[in-house]
Amino acid sequence: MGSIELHEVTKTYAGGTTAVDEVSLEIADGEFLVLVGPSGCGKSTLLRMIAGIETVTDGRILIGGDDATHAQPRDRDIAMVFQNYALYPHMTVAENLAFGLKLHKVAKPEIERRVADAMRMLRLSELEKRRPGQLSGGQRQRVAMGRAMVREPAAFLMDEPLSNLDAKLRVAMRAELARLHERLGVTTVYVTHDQVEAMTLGQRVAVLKNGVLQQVDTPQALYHRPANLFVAAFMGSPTINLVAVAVERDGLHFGGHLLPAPEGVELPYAEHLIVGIRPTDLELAELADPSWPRMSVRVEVVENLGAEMHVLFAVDAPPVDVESARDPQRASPGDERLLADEERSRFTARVAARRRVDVGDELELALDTRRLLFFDATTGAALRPRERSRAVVD
Amino acid sequence: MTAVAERARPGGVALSARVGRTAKLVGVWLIFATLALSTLYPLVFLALTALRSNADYASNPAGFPSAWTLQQVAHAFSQASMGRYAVNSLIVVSVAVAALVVISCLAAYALTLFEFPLRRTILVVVVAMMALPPTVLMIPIFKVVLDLGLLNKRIGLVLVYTSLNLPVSVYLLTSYMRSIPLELLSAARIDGAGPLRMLWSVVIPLVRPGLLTLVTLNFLWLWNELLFSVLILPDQNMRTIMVGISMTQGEFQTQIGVLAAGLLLSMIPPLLIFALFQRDLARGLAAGAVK
Repeated sequence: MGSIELHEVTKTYAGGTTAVDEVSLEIADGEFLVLVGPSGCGKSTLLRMIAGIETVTDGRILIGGDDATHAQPRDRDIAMVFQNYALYPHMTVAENLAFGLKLHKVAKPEIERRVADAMRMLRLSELEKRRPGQLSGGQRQRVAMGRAMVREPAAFLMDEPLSNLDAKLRVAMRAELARLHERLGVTTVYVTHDQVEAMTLGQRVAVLKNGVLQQVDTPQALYHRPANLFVAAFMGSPTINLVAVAVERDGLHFGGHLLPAPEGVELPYAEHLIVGIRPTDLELAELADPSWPRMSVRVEVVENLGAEMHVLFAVDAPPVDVESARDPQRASPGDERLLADEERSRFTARVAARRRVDVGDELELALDTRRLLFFDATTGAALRPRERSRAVVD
Repeated sequence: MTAVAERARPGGVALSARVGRTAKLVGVWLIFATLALSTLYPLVFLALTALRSNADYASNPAGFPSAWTLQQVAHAFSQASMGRYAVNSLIVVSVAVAALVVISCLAAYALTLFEFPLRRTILVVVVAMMALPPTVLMIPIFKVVLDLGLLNKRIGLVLVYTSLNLPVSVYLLTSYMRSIPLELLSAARIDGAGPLRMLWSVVIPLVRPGLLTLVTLNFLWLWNELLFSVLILPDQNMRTIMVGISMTQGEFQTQIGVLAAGLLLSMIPPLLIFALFQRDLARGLAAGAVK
């Protein structure tokens, strides 16, 4: 049984800094859960508390149903893969893999079998007698994985294991990790600051900010139904376009543009409203659905990526400062607004590269208003538009 | 010759550069040769003196032996008891170095990698103790050894050597242990290692250069130590080799060959230790310099 439960887990350091703040989370047996967030958000600290190498100030941690809050790491039946691999430099590859098993007094034939199986699975057999200093980054990563695998633990804990690899190798190793999880089916808690890794690897993703859990859901749900501004801005590449709008009878007004409200939908009410537009919800007008509203823009930057382009343009509205958003779970009404006063918003549209677009061009873009996201400008909390009832319409 | 005239001559600039380089090389070689000779000459003189008779030495002190003989070496063992003194030194120094390695390793491990009250204070005290000259502690140490009934006992000198060299040994090892990545220790904890197993399987192999530096330096220092050796082991039969040699200067004034043989004998163990561990010593000292 490899389920992990966190009940209001808190970590406060001696100086008063709270690195993890009452995080409650349930990870099912066999699930691949990703902890994601910016640097310093507490994700690694949380992982280390699950591993037992960081003490818990308050709260409980259950592993496989047993209270492991104050248990020693060796008694938790977990294995960890570190960002810098943490391989023993004086031991060979085979010795690195076998070390944990020896400490757990596993019988020698069993150690040899497990080590041989892991080396075969990870293509390490030829490297058996080498030391970590004689291996490449990718090989060291596989040895670190192998050392975790041979333990046959209830759960794997991985702390940014791919961050030291070059971009191409990172993509390849990501796929290998996904295949490995598919094959082994072991509960995995994976920490990363890379939201692309989070989206591609996780069955569910938990987003953290300043030690507080913002939202935990499937990657698709986080992308399409973020709980607040921070999650919306953190997930998705390129970053979501955010702008403050004024809601009028005829639709949403911002920066000289008008967006009619989506059909059959009652817009959410807030004194100050922010709209989020994913770059993928903008398309070249000639390629888009004719019913989508149009907006004319002046191209400032074009990033050509082959099959698609990122077109950057300015909107005559103040930029939204996501970092200033209050914690939506603790915000109180009447607090100051989010908006910065000067400059214009920069939008990004991710469009098909079917024709040439140059800097300075006047471009007509179409916008899929069905996918608009709405946020309270005061708290940053997401607001859901309601389906207009037949009774109201009729 | 003007610069224009020099340039006009083919290869003129290249020739003067070559001459300059050669002159520099010759100068460097001369300096190092002089240093090497000045270091080697006393050793050669010692060896020649030990392998010739006293009469031969008296007739031509600076020259080569007219006849080679091992008589002086034999006298060093039989009359001057150099063999016994060497054994005394070997016993005392080996046991002290072993004790230093074990205690300083455990102390440095605790001070570097564990959190406990007064940890920083203890580290500061260790560093402060390094600044104390041993001669200042001579009388209190003698009093303690006397009160414990350890005067004229090898274990007394072992304890004195260990306690005197512990601060610098602990300090040396803490600087090595600080360079161990903490993730490695976390990995060992997760693998199931307790504190002592971590020390044995992970920390000690990683600080091996530091340990070998510790062994070499302490051996050299303690082998050559004279003051406390005279103080704690005054009995003739318990003398260490350095004490033995210094006493021999008075007892065997006219037998310079015996003295030379004793000195040569005293150099063998440190030279062997140094030859065995010199690479680790150089690496260890260089690593310390980079930090």
